[in-house]
Amino acid sequence: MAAAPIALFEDEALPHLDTLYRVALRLTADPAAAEDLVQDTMLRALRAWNSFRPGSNARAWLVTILRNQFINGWRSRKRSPEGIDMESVPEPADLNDPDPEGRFFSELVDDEVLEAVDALPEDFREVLVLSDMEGLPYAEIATSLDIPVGTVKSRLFRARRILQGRLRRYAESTGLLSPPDHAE
Amino acid sequence: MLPPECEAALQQLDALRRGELSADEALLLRGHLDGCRRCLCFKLHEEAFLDRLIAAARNATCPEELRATIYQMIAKESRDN
Repeated sequence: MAAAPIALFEDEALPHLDTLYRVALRLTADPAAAEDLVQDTMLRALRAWNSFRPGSNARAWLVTILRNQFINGWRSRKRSPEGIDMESVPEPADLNDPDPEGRFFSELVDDEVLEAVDALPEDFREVLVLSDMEGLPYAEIATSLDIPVGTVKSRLFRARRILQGRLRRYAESTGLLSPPDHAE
Repeated sequence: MLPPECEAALQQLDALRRGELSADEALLLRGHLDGCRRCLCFKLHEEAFLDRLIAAARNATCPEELRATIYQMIAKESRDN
């Protein structure tokens, strides 16, 4: 295995700083902690750069390091796993819904959306962030999180349903959306 | 309980969005969506949800101070090695 020259680190790793910061921000829900986590990640990546195979996926490699750093050093400082009320997970596309096409999503502001993301259980949150917010392919997420692709898909499905349910209830509670009419 | 063709369609929506379906599969799925309001609504609902998530995420970028710190860290490591 050929070692990657240190000069390549800037080319390979630095373009992913925004992604790493956003993932860290969602994992920690704290901007200062996210900065520290990214800095720790980049230091560890730099020192392990000799183990990076040129031509392999630098983003997946960096996300794996970031996640391991979070699990080993950060998770215990923040957050505790949250129970999931699966009974509250809504079924999609209720045609009695006043807004079955989800137009209300565009009425929500960023902070409301991000708070709901941050409130997801960690296993669901990390998959949703990597897939739906950062656009990583399933296989890359599976590699980074060391889980099968099927688990990525099932967690993603659950994460979306939970998050959509919460955003919908928030929209209803604030009058952005009327509750579904099941009287018919 | 969804009809089997709707279940199959809903399971393929992500692959359609990610461009992972063959031309024939995509054509078949689009044909189903044209004739099934429930599945079309679900597709539009998912797209509205995902668009909102992406927009919320994109507003956060790595702070310049952190970027500068990392550049300095790299320069130091390069010098030390």
